[in-house]
Amino acid sequence: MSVRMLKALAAALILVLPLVGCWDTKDINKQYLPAVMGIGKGRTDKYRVILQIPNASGKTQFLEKEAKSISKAVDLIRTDSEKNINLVHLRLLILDKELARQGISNIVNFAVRANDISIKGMVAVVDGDFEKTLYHEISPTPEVSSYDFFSEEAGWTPNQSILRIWEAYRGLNSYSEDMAIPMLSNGDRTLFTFKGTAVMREDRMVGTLSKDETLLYNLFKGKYSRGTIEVAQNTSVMIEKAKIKHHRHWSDNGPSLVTDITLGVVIMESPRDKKHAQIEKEMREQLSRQFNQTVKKIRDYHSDVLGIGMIFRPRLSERSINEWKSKWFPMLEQKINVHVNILNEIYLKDPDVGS
Amino acid sequence: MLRSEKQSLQGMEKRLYDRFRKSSDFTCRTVVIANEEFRACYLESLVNLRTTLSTINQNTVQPDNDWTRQDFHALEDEDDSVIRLSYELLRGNLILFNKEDSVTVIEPEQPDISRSIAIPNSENPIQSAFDAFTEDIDRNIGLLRKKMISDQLVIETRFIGGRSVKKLAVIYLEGTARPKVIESIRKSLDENSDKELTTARDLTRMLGHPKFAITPTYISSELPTETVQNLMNGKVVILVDQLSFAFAFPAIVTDLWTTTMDANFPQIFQVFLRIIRVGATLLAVTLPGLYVVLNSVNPELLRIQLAITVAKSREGVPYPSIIEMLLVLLLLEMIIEATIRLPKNIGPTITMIGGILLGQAIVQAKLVSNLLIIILVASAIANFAHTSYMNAIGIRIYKYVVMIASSFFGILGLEGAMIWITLYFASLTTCSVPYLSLSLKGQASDE
Repeated sequence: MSVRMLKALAAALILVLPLVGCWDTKDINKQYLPAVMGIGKGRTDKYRVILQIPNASGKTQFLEKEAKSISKAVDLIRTDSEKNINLVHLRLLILDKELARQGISNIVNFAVRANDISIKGMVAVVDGDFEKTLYHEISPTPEVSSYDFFSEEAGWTPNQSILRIWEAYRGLNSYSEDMAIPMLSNGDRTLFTFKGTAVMREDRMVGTLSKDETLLYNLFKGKYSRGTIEVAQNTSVMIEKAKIKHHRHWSDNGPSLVTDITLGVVIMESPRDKKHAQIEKEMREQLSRQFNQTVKKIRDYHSDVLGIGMIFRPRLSERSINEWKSKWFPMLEQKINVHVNILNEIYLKDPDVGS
Repeated sequence: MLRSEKQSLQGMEKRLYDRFRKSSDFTCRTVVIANEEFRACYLESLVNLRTTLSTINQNTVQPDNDWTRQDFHALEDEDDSVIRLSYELLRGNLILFNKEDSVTVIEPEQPDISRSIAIPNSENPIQSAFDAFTEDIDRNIGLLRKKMISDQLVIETRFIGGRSVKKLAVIYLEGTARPKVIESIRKSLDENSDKELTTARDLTRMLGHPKFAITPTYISSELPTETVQNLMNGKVVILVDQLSFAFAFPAIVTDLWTTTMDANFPQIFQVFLRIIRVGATLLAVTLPGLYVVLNSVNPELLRIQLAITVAKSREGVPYPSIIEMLLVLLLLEMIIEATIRLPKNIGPTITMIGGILLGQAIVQAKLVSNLLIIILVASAIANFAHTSYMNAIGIRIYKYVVMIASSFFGILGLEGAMIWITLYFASLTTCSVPYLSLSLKGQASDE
């Protein structure tokens, strides 16, 4: 190849390069980066989309449109706004409870399919006034605070559930697991109040779990750090460690599962004369009772939010996996045994041992 | 005039005279040594005739003097002799003709036109010897000999050049330097012995190193101590007369972040310093590209809190981030270039104007964003955390490649550019040593 040819080729390459690349990018200051998207029922159209856009000057911008589809609504917002709307920083998808009852598969599919939405974003359901919750402002930048609300480094506690978009998508499509969505409403002094967890069957909301019941859900998912449990009057403990062991069994009557939960707890408050053994006993009984009630409640919803199907999955054939939610899960016999181990005996004088 | 003084110039003398007709410092005159008349030809600027003669005369007084044994020989082939004699003249020697037109060459006393050994000017040794090379190659070799007392220190001197002749010395440590390296240097010097040699680039071209390389193929040093360390690390050092630097061949990738000065520190300090320099290399190359990526192509890589602040700092900036970056980088490069050649007492002024006033003003005028200035300063500082100015230039150039690739292809472009530079380094081989080797010592094979 002659030098001339090479030069021409290089020139052509230089001309082509900008075309194949990101020539149509927009600078960060020419974009709105919404952090929260609220999707509710529209007054005139199917969906009502509200975007919360953070701004370093401390003011929040709320943009809102109604349309038959979410992407159309976003497009309408984009048309009216002076900057481009880029959903790459969307961290929280807030859904109206009404929508959740009717089914959210469209929304989750949109969120997963949209290239710019990160599937690590979280999903929540508004239990209460949708508009009021979305427009609620406490600190100058609510969207960042709402992100912190669920962040394990910031405001999260084991009484709250977390659902990410990819987990919601898994819940929609999995044969052996359902999803649970945290429920929020606007708080008085705080941005949100946590109202409990919405239990979903497939894509529909079928019931709710209270805050205490959410703790069991989180224990099953392995997220328990520093949860506080109130045992009896004046007694409360904090969970330091939790070990869960499942004993699955499959008989002619269907599946049965016995779960041993061993909690390592630290006593936070207790009356002076109460013995540790007594606390342990009370706690064991109370938690066993409470957990078994929760399990029964969940089973009555016919929703496998605890993901028990996953535990049985290795034992199921291809066909019976398909039938798990409809046939086998309602037949499940489940029992939870709670064992409690008090960890801070060394630090406090036990009256039994001392005298 | 000399010519009138003695009409019949001897043949050879006349030819020399013709050859140097245009040089006013060429002189031929009659001198008397040991009661004998000679014709002396020399370059006035390089020979101190008066002291030379008195030294010779003093020697002749002694009974057993070697003056009488001085080797006068008749001239045979005339053309060849003229070239040889004129060459001796240019090297500063004195030529004496006796009455029989025989000739001898004497090394005379030379006027003192070399700099004496002083502290280094372009390097700042911290815990080390402070003497630096000068322009005189013999003095430099002496410095090295003194610093390293070993019979394995091999010094091969040779003369190279066409129009002008340069003395250079190839120095290496027998048994430490790889024979292949020595052989390849020797070979290329032999092949190109008639080329001109005045600058460092002439030397690299002579050694057959690539014309367009973004890393230097040698490390230059002003310090004999450092050169000794280089020798001990298996490098081959080339000293060139009238260049006060020692060039150590070949450079390998570790030279980007190691300096032989480190060996004066405890091991852990050395590791720490080197990690910092490696980090600085990466930062210097990637930071400007990263700014462009984060600002225009992939803002999702920032955390939301940061994204908001960055967006705010760019609010009202009229140019796209790549243009903004290029503008300010150009300014920065100009400041760097401007300060390098300024006298030491003006340099700080420029730094102050450039750094503080301009930086502050350009942000307040909303021409560029705050973040850009931070990125820029970080990248400039990282750039000069390298071991030598030479290495830093390659990095300075390469960051533009990274930046342009980033602006076209986002974070993928940045990655691609980094992979490309690695591939480029892997393709480099200087003096038979791959650039990506970690050590030159020993006989470790490249295959």
